[in-house]
Amino acid sequence: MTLTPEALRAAVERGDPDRVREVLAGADEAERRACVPLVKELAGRDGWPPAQRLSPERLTAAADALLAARLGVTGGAAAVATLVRRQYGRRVHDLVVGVLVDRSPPWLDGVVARLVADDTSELWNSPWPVAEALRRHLGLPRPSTPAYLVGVVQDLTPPWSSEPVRGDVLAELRGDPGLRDLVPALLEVPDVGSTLAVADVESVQDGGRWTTRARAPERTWCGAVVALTAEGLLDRSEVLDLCLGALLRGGKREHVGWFVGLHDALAPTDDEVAARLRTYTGLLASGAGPAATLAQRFLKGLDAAGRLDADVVADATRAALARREKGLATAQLSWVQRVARRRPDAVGDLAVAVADGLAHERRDVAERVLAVLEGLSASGPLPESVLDAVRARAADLPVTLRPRAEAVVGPLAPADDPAEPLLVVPPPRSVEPPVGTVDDLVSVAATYLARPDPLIAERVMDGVARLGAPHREELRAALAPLGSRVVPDEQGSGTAAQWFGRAPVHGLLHALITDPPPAPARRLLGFGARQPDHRVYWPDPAGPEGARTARVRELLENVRRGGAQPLLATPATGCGHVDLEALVAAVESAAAAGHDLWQWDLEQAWLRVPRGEVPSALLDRLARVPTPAAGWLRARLVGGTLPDPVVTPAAVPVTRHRWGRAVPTQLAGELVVDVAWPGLADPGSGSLVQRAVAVPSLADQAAVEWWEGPRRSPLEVLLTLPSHREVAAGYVVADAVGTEHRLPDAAREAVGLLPEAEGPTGLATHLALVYTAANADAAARTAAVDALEGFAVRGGLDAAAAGVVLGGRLAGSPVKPGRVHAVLAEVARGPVPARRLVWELLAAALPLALPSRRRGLPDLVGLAAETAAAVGVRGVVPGLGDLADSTGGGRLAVEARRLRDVLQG
Amino acid sequence: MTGDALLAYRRPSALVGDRLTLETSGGTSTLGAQANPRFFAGFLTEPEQGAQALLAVAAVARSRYFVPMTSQRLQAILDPVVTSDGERLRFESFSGCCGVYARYDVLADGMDGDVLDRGTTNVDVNGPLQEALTRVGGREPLHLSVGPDDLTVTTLDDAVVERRVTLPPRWARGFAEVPAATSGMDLRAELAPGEARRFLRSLPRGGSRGVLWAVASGRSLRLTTRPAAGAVCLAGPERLAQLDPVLRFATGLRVYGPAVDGAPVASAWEIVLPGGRLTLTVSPDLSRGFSGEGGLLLDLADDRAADDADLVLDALAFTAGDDVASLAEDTGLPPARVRGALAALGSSGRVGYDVAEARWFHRQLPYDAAAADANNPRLRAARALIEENRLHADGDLVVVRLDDHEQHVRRAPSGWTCTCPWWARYGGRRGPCKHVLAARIAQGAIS
Repeated sequence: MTLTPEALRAAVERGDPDRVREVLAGADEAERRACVPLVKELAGRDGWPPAQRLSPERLTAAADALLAARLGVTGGAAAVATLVRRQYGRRVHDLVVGVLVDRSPPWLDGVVARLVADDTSELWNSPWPVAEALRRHLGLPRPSTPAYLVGVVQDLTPPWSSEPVRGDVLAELRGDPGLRDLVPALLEVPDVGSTLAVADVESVQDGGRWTTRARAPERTWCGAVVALTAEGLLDRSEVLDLCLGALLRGGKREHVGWFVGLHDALAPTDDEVAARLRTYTGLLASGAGPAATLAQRFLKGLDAAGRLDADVVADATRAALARREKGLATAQLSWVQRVARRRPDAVGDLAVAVADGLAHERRDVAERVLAVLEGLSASGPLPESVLDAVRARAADLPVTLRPRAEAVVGPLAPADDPAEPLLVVPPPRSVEPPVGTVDDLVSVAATYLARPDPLIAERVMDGVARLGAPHREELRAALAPLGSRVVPDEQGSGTAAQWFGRAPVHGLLHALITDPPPAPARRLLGFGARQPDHRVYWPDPAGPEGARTARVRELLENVRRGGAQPLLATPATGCGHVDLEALVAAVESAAAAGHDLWQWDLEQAWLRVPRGEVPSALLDRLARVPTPAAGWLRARLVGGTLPDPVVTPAAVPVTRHRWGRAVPTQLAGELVVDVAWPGLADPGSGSLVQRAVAVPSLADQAAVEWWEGPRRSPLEVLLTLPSHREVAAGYVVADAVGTEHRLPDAAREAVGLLPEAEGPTGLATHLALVYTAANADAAARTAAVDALEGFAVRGGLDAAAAGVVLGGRLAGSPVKPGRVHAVLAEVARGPVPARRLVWELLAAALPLALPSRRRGLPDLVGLAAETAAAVGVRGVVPGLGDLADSTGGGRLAVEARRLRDVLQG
Repeated sequence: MTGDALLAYRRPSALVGDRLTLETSGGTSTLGAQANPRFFAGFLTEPEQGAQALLAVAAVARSRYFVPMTSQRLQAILDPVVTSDGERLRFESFSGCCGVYARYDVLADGMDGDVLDRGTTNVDVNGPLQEALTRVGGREPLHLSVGPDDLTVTTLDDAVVERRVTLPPRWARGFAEVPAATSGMDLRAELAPGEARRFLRSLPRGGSRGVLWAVASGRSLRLTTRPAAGAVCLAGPERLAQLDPVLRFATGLRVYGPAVDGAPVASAWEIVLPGGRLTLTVSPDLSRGFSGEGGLLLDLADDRAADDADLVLDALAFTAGDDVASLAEDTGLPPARVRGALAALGSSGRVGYDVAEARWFHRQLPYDAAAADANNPRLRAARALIEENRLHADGDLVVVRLDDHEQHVRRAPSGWTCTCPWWARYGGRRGPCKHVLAARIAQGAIS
């Protein structure tokens, strides 16, 4: 039958792939080429059949028919391979293979090569089955590409539990004539261990939960390789070398783990280990942790058999003590002790090697090294050359360990006299000068759109206040290029911007570009926010985070009335404070010029006045200004600052309402805070102050899961109420209580600014510091270091009270002691004030935390001993004595004894 | 757009016994283009350290520290580049994400043998060689040959190992951008070995976010979230992990960076070794490759420096390198023109910058970096804007009319500005945007 475009069109439009195959069968390449325009036309732009109103089943059949036609006429291996890669599922793969086998073009082997040419296999949509079927059809040898070889594994042992394992891996491999090529090539594929590790386990349901368990050995790749090696079908020496090679090259944890398992299953003999001595020492020096542990184990075995020279042990010791893993170091030291007992002649070399560990970054390892050196010297005096080498390495020992070292090697050279460590406190967050021209304003507005920082928002607002009215048309034209970035579309998807707290400035800019403000701008500004069709998450101008929305509305209304004056509330410091003298001067200038001050701007300015006594001269100047605004401000300044809020502990609720349904919360019961100004807050008030202090429930906010989008910005809150840092800290707590989730940028920045802000610190600040110090994200922990050092320098933190909060969290929450230790240890590297702060924190925290005996606590107790020694305190830590007197030899008890000794002088 | 590079070696590099032969592919030497140049034959005085440092350079070449959502596939593995200047060997590599540049310098006291020639080429660092290098111990001498040994040269005429690798233009562009980034750096901190180890091992190993700053704190460094004076930017600290295997040989850590103004910048981290040094230069952000930094864009658009470049290149000529003042003296050019010439040479990959010695050195990348840079997407887009007559000047304002919107470029006394998102985000710190570039070209601010 001759292939014609008409016949092919009819078959495709019938939606019958089998009919398409029939039409294509037997056609030569010229006939197929003649149909290419037709297929391109049918495929349309997106490759699907022309619009058809078909059932899903018919639509699938129609798509398959078109696919068959495209595969049947498309020319060239590259184009066909690209087409095949886009197809999903074994059903389609069978069709693909059928059409291509029917066609059997001369370049079909090129299709196979291209389908398996990648460095890695595609897990979700691997074209491997098609490539393999075509390879078998053509009788081609197996490709050796990683994609092909990984495909072999995934075909025999599918990674998805829904697909049955084809059979017994051992039997399949045993019957494979290409076994001797296949397995060695497979074991050389980079990171193949990750694939094999997945293949060697199966998913099972256990009490309603899915877990994994190992398959029977003959159904695993590891078991099969070991069995085939034992049967002699694979070369044991080659397999062992490949296994060690994979471990030397390293890779993902799962990859290393699988090869460690294979190595253990092969159980190399002493002869085999001895023949590969350099490989094992190389693994110990630079392999991944599990591989290094393996190497250490087998080297120890060889040594136990009396087949390892002492100099190799010394090299292995240097290598192990240069690594960061504590386990490797301590195991090596135990090994050295055994060798030293057996080989007294090697004690000198071993002592020099062990001394390398004195520079280990872990204090407990350095301490253990000292203990080993004490043991080595106990059996007899060490040669002077050895002592010199040890002395050289002991130079960097912590001060508290130097006496022990001197007992071993004699007097050490005086420690360097380091200058008192500089306390590195980040400089105050800088504030840019006000914008002076329309061009500057456009530039700053563009910057805000790219980087929505609240301080930049204030510059934009101030610029609009001064330039908006006098340069209205110029500003409109200059801002026009920003239009498309201000509001994404007319459907109100600007709400995404609201979530990020950008809405007010976006709305302001949109309104300046388009007058009267279009609907999206009005929505962004919260105008008419109570209309029934509005979504619930549109901003309510109440609460500290809503103050900007209210101020922007006031600003816009005044600009439209022709008002032009600098904003009073523009911050002069990075955490939001205004310059009081400049504020008074601005009030005077406005009065002199006959300008009315904008009430909400004035109220925000008052909220940003720094704490402290107001100079009487300034009050006198205000008294001389005959305007209501000056009177209002003077009355507030005379009356003192806003009263401090009431901060109460709260628990994250068990459930919350989402889309009208109660849903459970992940952090239910965790300690957070709520902040309130009873009797003052009024979200419906005409006063910005009363609106701003109407803080919503922060416990409810903490219940919103981290993956549901950005929260309200603590940085914005801090800039609104910079003299009441507990409020911003409360918002940080709501964000940071989930310590395994990355802290949002705004919360991280707010933590760093807490020492610069003002107001009493209490539970909110303490919790914010603790949760941030325990955060999984290193950047958040760095912010905690900055904050603690800032408090050490500036004061303002009750370290004992914060320590009580820390102790409670260490004892009864997921806060991880190890992370807290890393933060406090960094702070303790500072000068005396920082060390004292750390000591006070720990002194208060340990009595509460010690009974929990959590992992990581020994490090905190050790740090307490170091800081106590550094600041020279004496005293008693409740609960420490019992622990120190306990007979157990655990590290917690050891560190407790050390701390007790320090405290007892 | 991608290009292919054909790396043709006579045989795979190998470590046999105590003889390490690093095979070379086509490169440039003092004799001109060579199929398989020979640069060195002799001993490494610190064999174990040298092996680990070479492994670190190779590891960077096959690493990607940032994978954009649009590009999940692995990049081809590119072999390190070696440059011999008669006094030292420099092994360079670049990560697949273009965010990390690694260089291992074997200094004069780190090698004991004959420098056979000066020049640049690729060296083959294959999988089996990497395995073999991990087995190198410190007790036995290690003989190193860079280039085929005598026996190979006389008995093998044809290349027997060919590897065609896909060379993304951004990779070559990044290589060329690194000297521009490092030439503005100064030494910011110097740490003793113990402190270096403590600091580097305290860095987060997992995926990190945001930019951190390292500041001097007593005898060590610590990280902060906001920069102080003298701070060094460190984005993606996990990118320094490749320094770990050589830390046990370190005699110190030196940290270099430019003066900071709060914006993220690149930084260089040098492990000082006996007879060598291993330096990692990291980009200002995990997601920012050096290829997109655009520090050379204005130089690329300006061909006035081309003549000066030849003079400067003659003065360098695969020697140990020189600073700007010496080059000015050697060439008779004013320092400003020397700097322009060096930038032009850097853009084509013909010079590198040694931040430790504050010297420019000649190396001829075995890739066509000049072509890659000439095809810089921003430069191409800028030229297209001019050709399509989309620029309309009005005094200091240039309106760039695009299909559905426009951008305003202004020339202010403080510099050029643009209203586009790129400019808003980076403020010219990653080079000019295409609109500013087009305006400057069109107005003759550059030729």
